[in-house]
Amino acid sequence: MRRRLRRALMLCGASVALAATLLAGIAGAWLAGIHVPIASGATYLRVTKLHPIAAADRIGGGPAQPFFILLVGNDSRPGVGGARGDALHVLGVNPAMHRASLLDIPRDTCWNGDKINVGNTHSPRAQADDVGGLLGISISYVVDVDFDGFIHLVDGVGGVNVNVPTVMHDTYSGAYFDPGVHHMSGLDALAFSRDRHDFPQSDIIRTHNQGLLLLDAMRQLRAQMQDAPGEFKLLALLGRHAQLDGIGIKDLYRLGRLAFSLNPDQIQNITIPVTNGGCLGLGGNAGALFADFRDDGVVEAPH
Amino acid sequence: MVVSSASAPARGTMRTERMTPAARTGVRAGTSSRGRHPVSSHHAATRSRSATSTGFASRSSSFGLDGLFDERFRNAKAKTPARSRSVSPRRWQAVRVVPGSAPAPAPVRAATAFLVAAIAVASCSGSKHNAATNTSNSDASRSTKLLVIGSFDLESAGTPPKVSDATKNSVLAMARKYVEVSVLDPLTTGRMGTGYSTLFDPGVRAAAIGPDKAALTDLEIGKTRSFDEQASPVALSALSDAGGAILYFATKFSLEIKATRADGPVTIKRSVELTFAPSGKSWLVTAYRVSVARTTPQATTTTTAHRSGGTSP
Repeated sequence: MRRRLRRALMLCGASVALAATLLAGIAGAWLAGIHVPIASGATYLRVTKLHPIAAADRIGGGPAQPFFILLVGNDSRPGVGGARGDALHVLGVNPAMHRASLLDIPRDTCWNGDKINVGNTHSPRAQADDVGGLLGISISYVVDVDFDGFIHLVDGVGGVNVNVPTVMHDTYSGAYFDPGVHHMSGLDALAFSRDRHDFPQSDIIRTHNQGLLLLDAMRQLRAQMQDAPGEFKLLALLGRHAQLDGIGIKDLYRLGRLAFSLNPDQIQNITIPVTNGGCLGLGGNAGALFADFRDDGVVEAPH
Repeated sequence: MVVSSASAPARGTMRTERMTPAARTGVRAGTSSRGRHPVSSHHAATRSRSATSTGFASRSSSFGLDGLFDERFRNAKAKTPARSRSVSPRRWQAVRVVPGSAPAPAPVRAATAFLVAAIAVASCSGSKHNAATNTSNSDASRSTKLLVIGSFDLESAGTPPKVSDATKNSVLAMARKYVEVSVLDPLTTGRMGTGYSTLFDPGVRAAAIGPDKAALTDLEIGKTRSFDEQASPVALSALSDAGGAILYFATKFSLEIKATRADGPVTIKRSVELTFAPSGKSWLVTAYRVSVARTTPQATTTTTAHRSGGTSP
């Protein structure tokens, strides 16, 4: 009896020690900046529905009127908190016209006396309010992803093929690319998205490059979303790793079918015009661009 | 990263289950189609036979006025007590009645008279009502033999649920119903089958009966004299939510039909993906991708329709 008890205690102790060692190892690696895949179910991104699309604007549950999606890449990572909206992009979708446009907003753009990316430190909704206020639009959805989530997300879809426009050799971001198409892992894609030191216009070019990456990713996902199994695979990934606020997988399915039916080659990627400085003011023709964008979600005139 | 143990699949792992298509060699499909398409309602008779080809289920039907008597004869012959059996072409030839030929022996004459009378009765009993009634009897239809499950994939946002064969078959039954009412019935009768619009959920129904009808159905081909149909095994795929509930069930298959119309041969090659969502105890089409290439004596056309949830992708 005593022998059995001792054996059980030893087994229990060994299990606890093993678990503690594993946890310590993972925590240490995490703190050291090593990317540790934990387990399925970790949150890669948050999707928030801000304004329910009115019944009058829907047909059978799907949006029929133009709507706007804010895509946010925040800078939250181990050692850096705050989650500022360092990558801000607004996708305008016009289901009736079957067209879309992407506006890229430099993170240092001034809004209400501060940099616009500060809004995200409060909440995705606050960030959407600020960006919506700048452009004069009502944003319906926000997709918010941090560094780690971005890496996981890109790796989760098998990487992305990105057409790098110029040479990149940046020690800060780790972006080392020659011009041309590169199949990027999550880490590569993050480095590409963060590189600003290679360009005299710094964040403005970086923001534009982020838009290019988004469209390249859309192109690739679109190819995978041409049948139900491909759609279901992506939706399952989102279902496992997206924190959904006010939106369900069924909504994502309909939005996805709509979004991936759009031809990325026909989506304009436009960086909003800004002036120089620490807090960037709007360029001269920004008002006309915003008006063109907000009337139907599509930028039609050349800007 | 997906973590799994030997005993249980990890959350969100994909389960792939490949099912062997049901053996179709020797499957007889004649009785249902005979019941479905009363001879007199179209002034045509139907014969059915089964065939097996690699990867395809195949069936053949004929409705032509040419050789009507022979056709009726065959049909009536097939309606003899062994209803589940079809009659081989050789057998049909053996009892063929040809005007001017030598008189048949008395038993054959009697049988022929009986069969002609049976056909006449059947002709008189044919009516629009009957056609409609029979059209709804899809479970016993040709499409039952035509569409069989080929593979099954499950994607899950959580722990993958166990999907029963009954669930898979209930979805397959809806796909069969679609084929029956939108493809086979129009080619047989020149009219849509009963219940076409009820296959679709409200999000896509208006489009399915409106702008996408030309792609989803073969109504524009019209009534044919005869046709052979072949289908690939049906690829089933499903998506379940974190709680294990099935959100969507998709069926994907191709369909090839070689038909004869009054003006010549017609070929229809159809690629169909229907995505179903649960609706009570049944399933309704909530999205579709359909592409159809039709070759008629006049032209070759390709029509596609992609739609989900009321949006037009």
